Parts: sequence; C-alpha cells; structure tokens
Amino acid sequence: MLGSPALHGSPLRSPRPALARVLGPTALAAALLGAACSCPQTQVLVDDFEGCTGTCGWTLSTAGAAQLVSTILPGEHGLQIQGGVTATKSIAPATLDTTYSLELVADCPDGIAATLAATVPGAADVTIDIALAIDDSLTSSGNAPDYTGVAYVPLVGDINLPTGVASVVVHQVAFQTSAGGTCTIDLIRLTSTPACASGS
Amino acid sequence: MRQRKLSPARVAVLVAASLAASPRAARAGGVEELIGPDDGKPDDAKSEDTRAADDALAAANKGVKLSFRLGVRFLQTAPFSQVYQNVLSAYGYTSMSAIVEAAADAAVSPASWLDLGVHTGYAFGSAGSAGGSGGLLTLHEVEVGGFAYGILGRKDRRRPGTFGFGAEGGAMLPFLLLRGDVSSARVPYVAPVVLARLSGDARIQTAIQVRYLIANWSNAFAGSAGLPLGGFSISVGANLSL
Repeated sequence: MLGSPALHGSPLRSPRPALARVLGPTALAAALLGAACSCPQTQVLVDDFEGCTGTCGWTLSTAGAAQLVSTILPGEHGLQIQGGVTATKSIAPATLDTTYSLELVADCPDGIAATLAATVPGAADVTIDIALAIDDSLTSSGNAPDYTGVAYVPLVGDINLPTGVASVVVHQVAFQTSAGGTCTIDLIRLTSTPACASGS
Repeated sequence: MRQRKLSPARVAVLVAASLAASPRAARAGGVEELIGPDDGKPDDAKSEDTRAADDALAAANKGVKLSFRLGVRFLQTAPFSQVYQNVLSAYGYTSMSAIVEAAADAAVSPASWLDLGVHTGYAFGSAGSAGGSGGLLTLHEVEVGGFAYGILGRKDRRRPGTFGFGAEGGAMLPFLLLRGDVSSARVPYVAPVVLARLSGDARIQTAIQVRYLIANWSNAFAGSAGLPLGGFSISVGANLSL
C-alpha cells in the first residue's frame, strides 16, 4: 500500500518537520556507514618498537645480533637483525583461525621467514610457516600500490592451518633472516581480518 | 550699416558649423565656450583634475604593497612520484594530501604594470597517527622567496580590480615531526602564479592568489621515498597599498 493516497498527504498525519525529513535519511546513512566501518579487529600482537629499549622483548639466537634503528623517519624505529639470526617473542596464548594474518613493514632485501609456534587442542604442538609477500592491496583510489625504489615495504602473510585444524593457540612468533645481510623489521601486527572488510 | 537680426534657425546652423570645425571645442561641449572670451579654460581644468587623479593613482601604484593570505595547498605528486603515499599508508598514516598555509608578501612597483617583492610563508600538514602505539606525524614548512608579477589594468581607475600573473621562487624549509624527533631539509621551489585584487584602487583590496608549486623533498622518508611539497595552492586575504 505504499502508493495508497491514504498514506500520502493524509490530513490526519501530522506533517514531518523539515529538519526531521533531512535528518532521518542522514542518520540512517550515518548508521549504515558506521556499521560498515566498525568491524572489530582482534589484535594478538602489535609491536612498533617505540618506547622500548634493547631488543624490545625479542630474543635472539645470537646475542648482540640486533639493535634498534630509525626507519623511515628519525621518530620511527625498527629492529635491525643481522643475517642468519632468528628473533623470537613469546606472546600471551591466543586462539587463531584463518581469518588472522601477519603484517609487518620491513627492509629485508635478502628475505625474511616468519613462523608461529602453536598448540592444537588435543594434539601435538605445531609450527606454522607464514609465506610473506609484498602487500599489493589496492589503494584507496583503486590503484595498485607502487613501491619502486622503496626500502621499507609492507609485507603480509595469511595463516594457513594444518589440514583438518580449524584453530590453534599461538604462543610464540619468530622471524629468521637470510644469511649474508641485515634485515630491519617494523610495525608487526598479528590481527584478524574482519569478515566485513574482506569483501570491500 | 544695417544690422541683420539672427533667427534661431540661423544660430543653430552657425553653432553646428562651429562644432564641426572645432572637434576639441565640441568635446568640451558648450555653446558658451565657443562664443565666450575664455575659450578652453574649463577643458584644461578638467584635464588637470583627471591628470591629478591619474598622478595620485600612479603614485599609489608605485607604493609599497603588503599582502596577507590564508589558504590551502593540495599536494600534487606531478611531476614527482606518489610512492610516499604508499609508504605512509603501510605504516597506517594518511597520505597528507592537503596542507594549510599562510603567507605574508611585501612588494614594490618599479612600473605600474610590475610588482617585485619578497614572499614568506608557513604551511602545516598532518598525516595522523601510525598503526602501532600512535604518535602524530606533522609537517611544518617555511617558505622564503621572491616574485615578479605583471599587473593588468592598474592604470585604469574605472576597473573594479586588477589581475596579474607571474612567477615565484625560493627555498622551502620543511620539517617532519614525529614523537619529538625532527627531520628537515632545504628545498628549492618555483611556482607560476595567477592573482586577482578586487575592490578597485582602494588601499585595502581582497587578494586571491593561485599558485602551482613545484618542489620535492627527495629523501624525506630516509631510504624509502621523497615527499612532493608542491601542488595547487589557493589563498585569500588582503592586499594593502601604502
């Protein structure tokens, strides 16, 4: 009955104030937009190497093989690790599934490998290898990002669980640098990828 | 001798003939002036008034001019690389695509069509906070330069304003400030300029200025990318003629 004359222009209906006519759709649009942008992101680990000293809680396979350095700006810091060294950090146990991913910004011309140490409920401990690659997600303008000549690039790797396993409890993150060079890592994030953002 | 009486028609014919024979007198426009003993004196007086006004305008045109403006600059990457935006995004910062700016200029006019002067400016931009523990990344930029503008229509008092175009160049001193740490540089810049000054020949005019700055801080993000500091700039303010 949307087209019924009884609903349109009925003298029994109190006229809607002009402000309400404007604010109603605006509020609805704002609510929808807010809902679309409010995807909760679960953070298991965020480490930007700011406000800390030494190796910022990371344990090295070779003592003294890493140091804090400035990265893209004097006020932006990362952990520079010598080649062939493994840096590990224990974290509070957290349950991860395949919606999680590992992201970092790094200058590792010779490559870097990332692993997670985890337990599977009712089974043996597992080590999950994460294949890191340059994050080529489209920019806000819809273009592929250009990192030509850039030292510090964003890397991302999906969490691929063993076959038949839906989730694991992660308790340690490790990075191993390739022998022969140095690698600087910055802004490490182990977070879930919200379902509402994956389609956007 | 018998004197002939002139009819109105004859007078009209004579006046018309006299006007045709004397265009200058016709411009002065008065029958009395044609037949009076002080022929041309009001014309000279009017010319002197006009000349005095023109002289005053010319003197004002050659005086010192001060300009104060506020505006916004839309950082354009052309002709430089936009890679810096991707680097900032990787860290969780915004691309800092627009910055606000303030300018104070002083100029003199060796000729009525020419303004030569010095430019000082300040610009501020923010890239927001990073994705980690935070920390506001801000850009502060000081400009010192000189300019030469050609001004159109300044001799004509009847115009509602003046327009100009020219070039500006100098040095930018940009600073990137993050968590108390500063990085800085000295960067040359050049900019074509188009300007308008409204409100006729008043001492205080509305000033509108559009520039396209070309400048690049080549190693702003050490080991990563440069920061183009140029782009379209539009500012509005006041121009004072002293």
